[in-house]
This record gives sequence, structure tokens and C-alpha cells, in this order.
Amino acid sequence: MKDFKLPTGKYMAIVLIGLILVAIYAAIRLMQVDIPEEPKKVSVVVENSGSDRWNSYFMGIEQAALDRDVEVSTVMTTYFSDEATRDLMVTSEYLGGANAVITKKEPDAGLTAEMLSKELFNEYGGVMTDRSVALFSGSKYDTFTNEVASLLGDYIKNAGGEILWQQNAPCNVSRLLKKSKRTDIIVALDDECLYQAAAYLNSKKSDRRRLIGIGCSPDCVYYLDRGIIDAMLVPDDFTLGYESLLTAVEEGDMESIRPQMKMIHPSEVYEKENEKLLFP
Amino acid sequence: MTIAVSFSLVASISMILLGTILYRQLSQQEAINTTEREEQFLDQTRRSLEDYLHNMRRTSDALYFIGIKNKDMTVDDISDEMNLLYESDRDNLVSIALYSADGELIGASPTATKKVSADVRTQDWFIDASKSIENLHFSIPHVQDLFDEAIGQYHWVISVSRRVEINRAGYPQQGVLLVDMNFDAISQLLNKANADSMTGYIYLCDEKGDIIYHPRQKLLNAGLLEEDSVNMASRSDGSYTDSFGGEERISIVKTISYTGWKLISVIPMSSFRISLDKMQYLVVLMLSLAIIGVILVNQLVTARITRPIVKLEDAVRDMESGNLYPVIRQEGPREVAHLAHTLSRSVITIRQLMDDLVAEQEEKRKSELDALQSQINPHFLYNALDSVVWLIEGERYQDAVYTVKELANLMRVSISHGRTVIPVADEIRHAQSYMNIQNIRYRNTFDVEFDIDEEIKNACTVKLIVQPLLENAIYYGVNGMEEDAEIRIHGYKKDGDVYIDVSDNGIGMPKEQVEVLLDPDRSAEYRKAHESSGMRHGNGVGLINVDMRIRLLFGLKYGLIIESEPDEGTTMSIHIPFIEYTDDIEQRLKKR
Repeated sequence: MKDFKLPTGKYMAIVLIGLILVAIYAAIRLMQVDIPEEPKKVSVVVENSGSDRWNSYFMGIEQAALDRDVEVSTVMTTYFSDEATRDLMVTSEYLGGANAVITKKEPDAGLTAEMLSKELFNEYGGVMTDRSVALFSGSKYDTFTNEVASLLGDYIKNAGGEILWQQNAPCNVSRLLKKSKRTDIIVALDDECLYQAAAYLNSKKSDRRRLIGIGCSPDCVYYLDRGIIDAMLVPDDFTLGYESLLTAVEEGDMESIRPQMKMIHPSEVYEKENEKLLFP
Repeated sequence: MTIAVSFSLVASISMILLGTILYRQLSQQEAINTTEREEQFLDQTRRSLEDYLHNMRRTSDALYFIGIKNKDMTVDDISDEMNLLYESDRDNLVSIALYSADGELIGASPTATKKVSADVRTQDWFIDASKSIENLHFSIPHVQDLFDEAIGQYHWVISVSRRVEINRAGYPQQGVLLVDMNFDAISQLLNKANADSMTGYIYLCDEKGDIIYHPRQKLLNAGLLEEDSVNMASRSDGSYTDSFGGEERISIVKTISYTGWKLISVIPMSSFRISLDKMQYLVVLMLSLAIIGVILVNQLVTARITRPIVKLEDAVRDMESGNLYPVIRQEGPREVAHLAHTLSRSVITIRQLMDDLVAEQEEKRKSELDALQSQINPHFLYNALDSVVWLIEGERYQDAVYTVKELANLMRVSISHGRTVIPVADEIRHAQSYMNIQNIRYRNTFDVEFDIDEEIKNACTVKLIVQPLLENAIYYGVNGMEEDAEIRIHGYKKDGDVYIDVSDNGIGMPKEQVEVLLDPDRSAEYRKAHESSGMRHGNGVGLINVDMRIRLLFGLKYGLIIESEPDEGTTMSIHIPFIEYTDDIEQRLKKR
């Protein structure tokens, strides 16, 4: 303590220079006008984008866009005529200034086929002998539904059943059901086909064939509620849409997203958790 | 400078502390103000919600007390009342329905077909109403499952149900009255509240913590978000600061009448920090500028105060380096000027004391010199007069006259007009007179030879320094020798100095005696130790006197040098500087 000497001279000069720099920095920051960052632009390219089946999906995307201040635009589409059309749209969006383009991440085809087959087999005690199935899959270029159709066909065949006929969307479902060979079960892997099949069965009060499928649109929910659709595999599209946009904005790996699905029966429509999924 | 730094440090630390406290106070005040604003805003929202719920209650009451209670359901129709009430508030209502205790639909508005699959008895609102009479029950939002709706139509509703008494032909029966509120109305009301809220968000939950409304409801439904609703539902009205999901936040809780629902406003703490962002920079800027100002002012003020102190310090340093005439400025503040004045006076006093001391020392030295010189006179005079006495007694009158003349010569030189410093020639003349007297006394028992170089004869010397050496050579050298006793005085110049050697061929001295001869203490000890040996030893006073006188006048470099060998003889050399004798030099040397 005796030898303690306060810093003087040049140290005082250093302190003064430091303080002047701090004051200049604070003054600059004080005068700065916060210019909001331009929001990122994200485009969404999904097949048949006008369909009600995307309601939850777009809600999820919009919620994420709101949370992350992202500008979202949806490309108006119908059924893709081929894969190249979709790819062209994606490229076009990037060229148009989009920071990211979202295409729907499909669920695991194997798991989907397994869930559908279980639902089918439960009714018949796991034995499908002499049971015939009419199958509506997505568009010709919808890899996911075509893969599910293929796997499901294998499950049915292995259980002794048969897919009597199969049709890709889009198609005239009611005409096909009317004119094609009658099957015991109708499986629709496309929301639009499921709705049309349900509408057809609803119009034919006597035709109480078993109808199951993948769907989520209000129309399908309506027929599920009324028992026309016997079981519906409902994707959690809100979560999928939300996570898709977050991943796209954060430039994360889309493959890390795991879309979830739930099989819902008519009696379960008004269960608390199902209400949130079915009536967004 | 140290004072300036100390002042600046103390001032800066104080200002930083003050700034920090101020900033914290501002932050807290901001939090308090925001909380108060949000509480007022939440109160308004609560009142709006209560108004809305009160309307629903009034609808239910009106239908029950005016319609149902006064009707006989077997004959009367309550459709008109139901339709009237429904139409009066159709924006907020989805439907009104009356059920019997077994779930049969008695009436409904708007008119609708009962859904075949719907069994109201299993629905929560029906069960709750059946449990407790007269109470109104508010459900959490759910999708209405009562009527056949058009495709794609469904309604999120909050069911207000109550158990009612139905009159069927005079027989009271139990029933349940249901008013389904449009959840969108509540949702819109709270959406607007959330849009108007500047800092946080508002949500609504029931008394168990089940969410009724939340601005991010879908994220909660999807499990992508969590809310602290169960904890908040257990709290009474007030504001709480706690942490949820790693975020600190203030929650304001208000209970909604009729329902027990909790309206909760959540304000994340981070929102205060954002709003105080600019304030932070303002505080930092002001603090920085204030500290810079304090440092500069301190430098100026302390420079004014410390400049005289620094000058005073310089003067003290000057004194420390030997300067007794430092420049001491008596300026600056009163205390410093007083200090400088005191120091100045001290310097003058020290200088005076030192001058006095030097004068005193000089006086003392002169006194010593005079004392030493005066020690010789009686010593020699006695011997000389003794010689004259025994010459007269021996009738050797010529020799007596000669001796007296020589004594007169000797005394003349001794007196030398009171001078201490005389030319070597005078000193040698004095020595010759002395030896002439001694020769008479000792009857020419020894030969004396003077060999003095001419060049040194005018050099300065201390008066009467050769004589004691001659005396010593006689008494302790040649005295008692039978024959060939010889004393030789040789004066010469060597290496610029003057040497006067007095040599005898007497008995000489041992080395140890020579070593102590000029040291008064050791010399005395030596004599005491060798008293019994029978050897002759002088007290050494004469030689010591000579040595000291030379040193006193010419400095420690000079003095007496003694060389002796037992049975060989002794040589005593006077070593003095060569200084040409003039009256001026004599005076200057005398003053030293």
C-alpha cells in the first residue's frame, strides 16, 4: 500500500480517449434510426393449392411467418402434370426473389401404409380373404401416395385381400365408383378423392361400403362426423406448416421435419385433442 | 497529478454509481408505469368481457324466467321467445336450446335439426348443468355438436348451461337450458385487446388453467408453445414477477365475474429493455461527457493548487542536492504560501546555523593551534634558560652571551609578529638557533648539519615544527652516545611538495613504537606497557603536536613521517605543500 501510486499522465490520456470513444459510440447509437430489416420472402409450392385441405398447413405457415416476420406467398397451382412442372415453379420462385421455397414434406410412406392397413385389418380380424379394395391415390406424379398405394397393396395382398382397381387423381370418383366393379372397401389417399367418395356414398344411402383414407379438409371432416368416412388419417398440417417455414427461414434441414398423422374415427371427432386437429 | 487522478476517480465512480442507480430507478419506474398502464388496460378488457358474459347471462335469465317458467311445455311453444332473444344478439350467439333431463330437444333457435349422432347427455355442459341447480356453467371453447349443419360448417362455442325447471301440464320436470356463445366474439374482443397492447399479450383461462383464449392458441394446441396458465389460474388478482420458459416476465391476473375465469396479461421483461435501449445510450453519453468534464476541470483546479506545491518540492530537492540558496516562491493558496514561507525561513536559519558552525569550528581550530604552539614555549624556554644558568655558573660568559643571543633569535622567530605561518628560511634559522643553544648545553657532544635547498627557503611552513623534532633527536636519539653522534637536517623539494628530514644516528626505535608514536592513545598505552624496560620514551606530545598542526593548516594529506630502525637511527620527515610565501598567502593560510 505504501508503494501504491495512482496511474497518471499517459494513463489519464488513455482513459480520456476511451471515454471520448464511448461518448462518440453512444451518440451515434442515439442518433441512429432503427431501419427495420426487410422481411425474408418465402414461397410455398404445393399441389392444388386452392384446396381446403391446406387450411391447417397454411395456418401453420402464416403463424410462423408472423412470429418470424416473414413475407409468404403461395403459388396458385392445380394438380401437377409432371414433376418438372413443380421443379420449374420452384426455380421460378427463386428467380423471382424468394429467399426460400417450401414444398410440402410428406409423411413416412411406410408408416402411413402400415397405419392404413391396420385400420383395414381391424375390421376383419386381420384377415382380408376375398375382400376387394378400390384405391384412389394422388396424382400420377405424387411420389408419396403412389408409394403408400404400393405398400398398402402389398399389405392387402399378404392378408389375402385384393386391390381390384386403382386410380390416380384427379379423376371422376363418383363415375368410377358407379361404373367400376364394386369393392368391399374404398381407400382414398387423396383428400379430394376421399371427399368425392364420401359424397358419393352419402348420396347412395343404401351403399354402406367401408371408406377410409387420408384427409383433413372440412368437407372430409363433415363426412367423418357423419360416419360416412369410417376412419380418416389426419395429418398434423399446422405443425408441419409451422416447422417447414421455420426450417426454411433458418436454412435448416427439411429432412429433419417429421410430419405426424393421427387416425380418427367418427366417434372421436369431438374429443378435445381431435377437435383442435379437425376444426382449426 | 496524483490529486487530479484521485479527484477524477472519486468523481467518476460517484457519477457511475449515480448513473447506474438512476438507470435502475428509471427501469423500475418504467416497469411500474407499464404494469400500471397494462393493469388499467386489462381492467377495461375485463369489463368488456364481463359485459359480454353478462349479456349471455341475461339472455339465459330472460329465457328462463320470462319464457320457460311461465310456459306449459305440453301446450305452449317457446320458439318465439327463443327466436326473439337469438335475433336480438345473433352476432354473439350461435344457438339457444332447451333440453329435457333425458336429452330430448324441446326447442331451439335458430331452428335446426338435431344431429342423430349427438347425445347431449354425454356432453360436458349438460353434465355440469345437471349436477348443480340454478348455477350458470360456462364451458371452455369446444366445437358445437348438436345440429345437422351444412357441409363445412362448424362452430367453436362457449356453452352457458343451467339446470331449469320445465312445466309439463302442471308437473315440474328438470331440463337444461343451453346458450351457445360464439367463441369468435370473445376471440375478436381479445384479439383487439392484444393488438392494442403495446408491451405484452393477454390470454384467458378457466379456473383450472385450461386455455380459453390465447393469441397463439394454435401453437399451444400443436404443442409448439407452453403457457403458465395452470400456475396463474391458482393466483389471486394482482401482478407477479416470475420466470417461465427461461424468460422473466410480469403477469397481471384479473378474475372475470360469473365464471371464475382468469384474464392474464403477460409482459416480458425484455420489452422494457428494448424500450429503454435509447435511454441506455443517453445515460452512457451523458455519463461519459460528465466524467470527461470532471477530469478536465479536476486537472485545471488541481494544477492551480499543486503548481506551488510542485515548485516547493523542487526547492526541497535543490536543498537535498546541497544548494543552500534554493529559489522558494511564496505563492498559491494560503496554506501552501505559509508552507513556502516557513521553508524559506528554515533555509535561512539553517544557513545561519551552518555559518555559525563553520566560524565556531574555525575559532576552535585556531584556538587549538594556538594552544599547541603555546605548549612549546615553556618547555623549551626552561631548557634554554637552564643552559644559560649553568654557562654563567661555569663562568663561560661568552658562551652565555652567545646562548642568550641565540635565544633572542629563537624567540624572535617564535614570536614572528604573531604569525603562525612563516617562510621555511625563518623556521630553519629558528632551528639553527635552537641547535646552537642545545650544542652549548650538550657541550658539542653531537654534530649538526643543515642542508636546506634554496628553492624551499621561501616556502610557507607552520611555525616551530622543526624544533620539536630536533629536541626529540637529541633527547631520545643521540643523547648519551659516546661519540659520532650526528643530527642532520635536510630540506628539499620532491614531487612538488616540501620535505624537511631530521635524521639522527641514535638508538632508534622498534617498529611497533614507530607505529604508535603519532597516535595519542596507543602511544600512551605503549609507554605504559614498556615503562619497566628502562628504555627512554618521550610522552610524544611534541611530535603529535607537530603532526596535528601541519594537518590542521595544510590538510590531512600532510604531516609527519617517522622511520626508525633500532641501533640505526631515526628519520622524521616534515611533509608540507610547496606554497610560495607572501603576506597575502600567510593571511589566507592563517584564516583556514
